[in-house]
Amino acid sequence: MNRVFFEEPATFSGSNNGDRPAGLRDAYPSYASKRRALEIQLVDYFEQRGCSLVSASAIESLDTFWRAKTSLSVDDAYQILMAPGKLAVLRPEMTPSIARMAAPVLQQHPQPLYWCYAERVYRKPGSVSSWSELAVDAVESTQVGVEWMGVSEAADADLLLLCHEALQQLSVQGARTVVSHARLAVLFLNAAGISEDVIAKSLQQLVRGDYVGFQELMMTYHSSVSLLTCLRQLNPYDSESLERQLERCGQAVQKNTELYQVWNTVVSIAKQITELGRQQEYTFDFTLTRNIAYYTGILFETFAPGVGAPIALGGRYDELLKQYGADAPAVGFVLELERLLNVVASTTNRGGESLC
Amino acid sequence: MLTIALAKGRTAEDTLPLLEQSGWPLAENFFTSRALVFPAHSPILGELQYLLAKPMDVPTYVQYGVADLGIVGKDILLEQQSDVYELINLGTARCTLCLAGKPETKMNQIRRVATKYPRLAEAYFRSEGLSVELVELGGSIELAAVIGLADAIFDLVQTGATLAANGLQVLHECHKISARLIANRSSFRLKQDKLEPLLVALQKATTDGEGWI
Repeated sequence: MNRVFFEEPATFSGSNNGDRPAGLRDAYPSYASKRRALEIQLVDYFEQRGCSLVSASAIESLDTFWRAKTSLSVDDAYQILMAPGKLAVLRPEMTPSIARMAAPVLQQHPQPLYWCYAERVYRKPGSVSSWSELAVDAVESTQVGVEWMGVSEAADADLLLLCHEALQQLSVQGARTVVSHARLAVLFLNAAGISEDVIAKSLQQLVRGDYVGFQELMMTYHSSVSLLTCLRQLNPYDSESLERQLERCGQAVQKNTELYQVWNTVVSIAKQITELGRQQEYTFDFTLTRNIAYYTGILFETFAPGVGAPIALGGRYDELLKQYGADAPAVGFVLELERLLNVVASTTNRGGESLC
Repeated sequence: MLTIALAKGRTAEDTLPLLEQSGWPLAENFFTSRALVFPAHSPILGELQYLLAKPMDVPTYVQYGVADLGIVGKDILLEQQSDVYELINLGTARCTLCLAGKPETKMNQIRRVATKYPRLAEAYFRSEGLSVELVELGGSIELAAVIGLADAIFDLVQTGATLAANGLQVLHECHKISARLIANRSSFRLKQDKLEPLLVALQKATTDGEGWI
C-alpha cells in the first residue's frame, strides 16, 4: 500500500520539522526493533540465570547522585528543576539508582539480591566525540545490567563468566575481558615508593589512556625501572610475578600487607578461570583504570572484534550500598546495547522471527 | 589485518624514517603516490595497511576502531580529547604551540585571538586570567593577525619563519608538541600479540629505556 506522508517533499534544509538535542538518538523501525529484541534476549537470559528484573526512575535525586561519589559532576548530567531550589538529574549511570533501590531491601532482609535491568542512561554532550556510541561519555546509551548485592569477592569469577556466557548466547565471537583491580596499581606504586598524591595524579593519566604522561611522571620519581612495565607484567596466572616485579623495583613487601591480600584475590580469580580452561578469554592488566570512585575491588572491560570500545564494563563496589544505609558488598556489570548491535549479526525480534 | 592511520604532512614525513629504523613494515610509495591507503606486508605480522588522513581526523579513525593505531601530533590529542590510548611519545614532528602577534603587542591589550585550537586557547587564557574573544579559523592563522581580524594568534610554530615573514613573533610558548603513537582501546586489548612487537621496536628506537618491553 502506498501511503503519502507529506504533501510536499521534505527537504534537508526545511527547518519546520522539529529538533532534538545534539548527540541524542532516535531509533527508526529497523534499528529500534533490533535493539529491543536484543534487550529482551539478554533480560530473558539473565532471568533464567536467577536475576530478577527491576526498573528505576529515569530521574534521580541529586542526593542519590552525590552519595555515590561518582566521578561525574552534576554538570555532566542533564539537570531538572523539580521545585524551586530542588534539582534532580536525568540518570547518567544506573548503579547508584540500583544501590538506592536495594539498600532498604537489604537492610530489612540481609540476603543476597540478584537483579538485572534494561534502561537508558544520559549524559550531557561534551565534545563532538561524545555523540558517538563508542565514547566513554556517550550522550545516550541503552544498558542491560546485572547487579549482585550482598555477595562477597568469592562470586567475582562467576560474574565474569556470566558476562561471557551472555555474549555466547548472542553468538558474539572472540570476546575478551581485561580484568583489573581498583586497588592494585595504587598499592603496587605505593610499595614502589611513589607518594599518594603522585599516585592519584598518575591514575588520572591512566584513566585518560595517557600512558606517555604516566611513564614520564613515574620516571621523574623512579628513574631506574619502568613502573609501567612492572605494572603490565603483573600476571595473576603466574602468582610469583608480583614478587618478581617488586624485586625489580628494589622493594620487599611483607606478605600480610593489603597489596598481597588484593593480589591473592586476583590470583584466586585467575585460578578459577584456569581450572575452566578459559584463560584465552580473560587477561589481566592493572593499568586498566576507570574514573569511578566507588569501585573497591575488581573492575573489568570486555571487548569484541569489530567494536572500537568496550561492549561490557563492570566492577565491585563494596562501599556504595553503605551510602544508602545498607552495609553490603556488591558487584555488577553492564552490557552496552548500541555497541553490541555492531557485532550481533543475527538476533530474533519480539515475535521470534529472525531479523537478519 | 592491522590498520595504521598517519597524519598527512609533516607528522608523517618526520615519523616515517623512525618507523623504518624500528623495522616497521612500510609501503614503498608513500611520498610518490596520491593514494590514501597503502598496503604493506610483514612476514611476522602478515598484511597491514596505512591510511593517510588529515591530522584532525586521525583520532577519530582510531577511536572508532577502523584504524588500530594512529600517529598524530599531541596538539590534536590535547584539543580533541578523544577516547584513545596514547602509547609512545615518538619525539618527531617537534614544534611549539605559541601565542604570537606583532612585536608591539602587549599581553594585557589582547582582546581577540585567532586559532585552530579553541579548547586549548580557552584553557590557556583562563590560566593567564585574561578575557579574550576566540575566533576559530581552519588555516593560515597568521593572516588574522596581519590584517587585523585578531590581536594575536594561538597556533603551532615550528621554525618561526612563517611568523617572521608576516611581521609576527612569538609572545609566549604554551605547549611543547611532538608526534604520538595512539591506539584504539579495543585493538590494544584484542590485537596485543600483533601490536606488542611493533611497540617494543618503536620504544627501543625512541628511547633507551623500557616501556612496552
